[in-house]
Parts: sequence; C-alpha cells; structure tokens
Amino acid sequence: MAKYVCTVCGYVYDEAAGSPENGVPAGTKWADVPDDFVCPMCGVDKTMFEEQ
Amino acid sequence: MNVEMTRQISASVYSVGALNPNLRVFDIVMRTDYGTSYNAYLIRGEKTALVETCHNSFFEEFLENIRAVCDPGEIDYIILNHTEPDHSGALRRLTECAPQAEIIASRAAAIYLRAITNLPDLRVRAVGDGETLDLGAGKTLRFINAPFLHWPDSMFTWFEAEGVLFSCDFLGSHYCEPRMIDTAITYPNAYQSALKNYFDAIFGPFKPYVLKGLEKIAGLDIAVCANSHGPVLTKGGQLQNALDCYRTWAQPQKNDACTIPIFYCTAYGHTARTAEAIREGILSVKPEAKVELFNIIDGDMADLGARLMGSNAFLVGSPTINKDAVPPVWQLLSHIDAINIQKRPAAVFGSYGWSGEAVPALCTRLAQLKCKVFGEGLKVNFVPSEEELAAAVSFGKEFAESL
Repeated sequence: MAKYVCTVCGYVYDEAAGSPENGVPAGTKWADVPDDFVCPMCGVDKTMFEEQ
Repeated sequence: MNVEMTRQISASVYSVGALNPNLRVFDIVMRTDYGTSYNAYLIRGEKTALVETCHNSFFEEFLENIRAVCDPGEIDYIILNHTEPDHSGALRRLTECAPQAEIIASRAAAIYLRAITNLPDLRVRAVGDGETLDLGAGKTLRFINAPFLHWPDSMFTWFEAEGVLFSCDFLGSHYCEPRMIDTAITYPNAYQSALKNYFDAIFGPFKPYVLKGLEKIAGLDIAVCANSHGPVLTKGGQLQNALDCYRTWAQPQKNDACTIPIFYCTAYGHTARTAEAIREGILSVKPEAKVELFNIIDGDMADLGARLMGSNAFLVGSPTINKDAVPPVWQLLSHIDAINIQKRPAAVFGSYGWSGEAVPALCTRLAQLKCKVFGEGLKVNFVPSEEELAAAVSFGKEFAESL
C-alpha cells in the first residue's frame, strides 16, 4: 500500500490506514479518496499531495 | 468611547476594527514604519455579520467600536476570512460576549481554530467556494475560496448588493490611516511603499496564487475593497492602482539565460579561487549560462537573496571557522524562500584547515530546504593545489551536466 505526503505540512496519508475519522476507510487507495478530501492537519486539497 | 473610530464604509457596512499606529515590527520579520490597523466590519441586514475580529491586545477598543453600532448579543455570524492571530486573536473573548454567533470560515480555517481558541465546543460552519449567506433584506454574502493569500485558510467574502469585497490581507498594507479610507491618505508615497513592502513580505512566496486571486475578482464590480490592514480601497481612489500593482508584482520572473550564481565568503582568497575554478567548469559545459561570482560581504543581503531565488541553480561556498560555516553565509541562506526553493539544484564548496564542517553543514541545510543538492560538495584543504583546482573545474562541469 502506498503513502502520500502533504507537501504543505508533511501529513502522511497511508493507504493501509486510511483516515476513518474523516470518512475514508482503511485500505482506501489514494485515487479512490474523494476529491473533496482535505489534509486533516492543514486543510489543503488533494492536489497538494504527492506520493512518498 | 471611540465613536469616531467607527466609520461607515457603505450603507450597511461599518468599520469597527482597531488602530495600532505605534507598531514598528509585525510578526518578527516585517518593519512597519507606519503602524497598522486590524480591520473588522459589521454588516447589518435583518441579520448581523461581523467580518474578522482583531488582535487580542486591542480587544477592549474593538468591543467599544462594535458597541457603537450594535450590541454584541445581536451578532448572528462571525466570518473569518483568515485565522492568523492578528485577526482571530480577539475571537475567544468575543465568543464570551457573543455566544449566539455562528462562526463561518473555510475548511482549513475550521481546522486551525481548534488550536487557536482551544475551545472544544466551538461551533464553526465550514464554507466552500461559491457558498452564500443570506442576511435578509436583499443582502447576501458569497464566499470565494482564495487559498495561500497568504495561508491555506484564506478566502474572500463578496457583498454584491453594495459592491464591498472583504479581501482580508489581500490588497492590505501596514499603514495606519485613522480615517480608514484611501481618499484621506495624507502621505501617498508612504502608503505606496507600505503597499509594496506588504506585498513583498506577505505575498512574495505566493505569486501564482496572487494572479489566481486577481482572476477570481476580475469580474466583480468592486466599489470598496474592505481589507484587513490599512485604509479601505475605493473605486476612484486607490483600488485600481493596488490591483495593477499586484498584477505587475506577481508576474513570474523569466531568465533570458540559464542563471547560476555562485555566492561565497573567503578569508584568504582560497574559497574564492575555488569558486573561480568551479565557474570555469560550469561555463565549459554551458557557455551560454550566466554564472556570476558574489562575495557575500560585498553585497546587499536582500539583493543577493533575490538573486538566489531567481536562479535556475546556485552554489554556496564557505570556509570553516570554529567548526561551522561563517555567519554571512548562514545569513544568506536565511533569505531563502523555503516554499519556492524546493527542487532547486544547488551545490556547496569551501576551503578548510583541519575539520571542515562547513561544507557538510551547508549541504544538510540545503537538503532540509528540499534543494536538489549535488553530491556531498567540494572541499579543498587550505590553499588549493593544481590537483584541487582541477577537481573544482570537474565539479563545476559535473554539476552543470546534472542540470
């Protein structure tokens, strides 16, 4: 499972862990994470993330 | 009681913010020769909205200004276009006087407000681009998402019925104008310099976003730009000038030729000699490149910082004195805009006597700033020998080839 890092604040989205508290179940691939997902730390959108 | 400080900006909008004429340094790094103001506005429809709060140190004055217009208990909404503490500082105390008010801000702002107010029960409505808020009596507000102007949380609020754009820091200036309107500015040259300094310090790292922000408001018929610092800008006053200046200042820099400045300090000329050899190597691969040598202590730090940021690639050289690179070199690196230097190719070099920590320390720092650091840098021992100079020429060649 891949990891994607927020280039603004460094938060790491781990596909294996998902972000259940933000409605993204564990195991959700980055491409399947909804477009309106925002970084839980700094609030920027998916376009500011890159694969780690 | 500061009734004079409460100004009517349009039929339904009142300026209720606080003046800080004596401020001389804003947030550590900006000189503010002309003081500033923390602007906030009340909008009266059937419902009442407050746009921004102010710095916590000016809470009492702010509350008095609000009271000149309405009772805090009448505030239905507190709209925060941005949550930096010069605008959000008074929020926590204000919620004690206005517990009924619903806070409205962007999604990022809603996240930041948790740790700004430390109020676990704070109610924040997160709004997205294009969402509206109806204040009744035909008065509607529209929210315009405007990230990185200058935080991820920033947005604008547009009050179409009276042509008022609440732009927060965008188009603002640290310039205390007690009469709060651009047509009253007594010293226009001072105001213009404050506008430029503010742009450079606050929006300098975010030029592409400035251009996007200008696009977002291009179609609006703005009568008053009610910003968060300095006098409001009016159609027929300073508004068009500010918009034109922002557009000009935000243009991307284009280099005619590949520009590779070499910045260095040198105690006895050994690091300087090494810099010359590296330059030779770069030019042998890229004869059309602009490769200038800059002895840091002879230059103006702001100018050198701008040249570094405008480079296509850059090199930094330092001797080692007492286990470190020398202070002017660190000072130059402190001028790096970390947001925009990412992935910039960079290389490090220097002469050393016996320990040589400067080169690895500089490589580490530049790597932390996410520059693309070339190898492990180049060290020469004391006076560069013929072999060491040849190695420096090769270093320059290989660096240029890597670009």
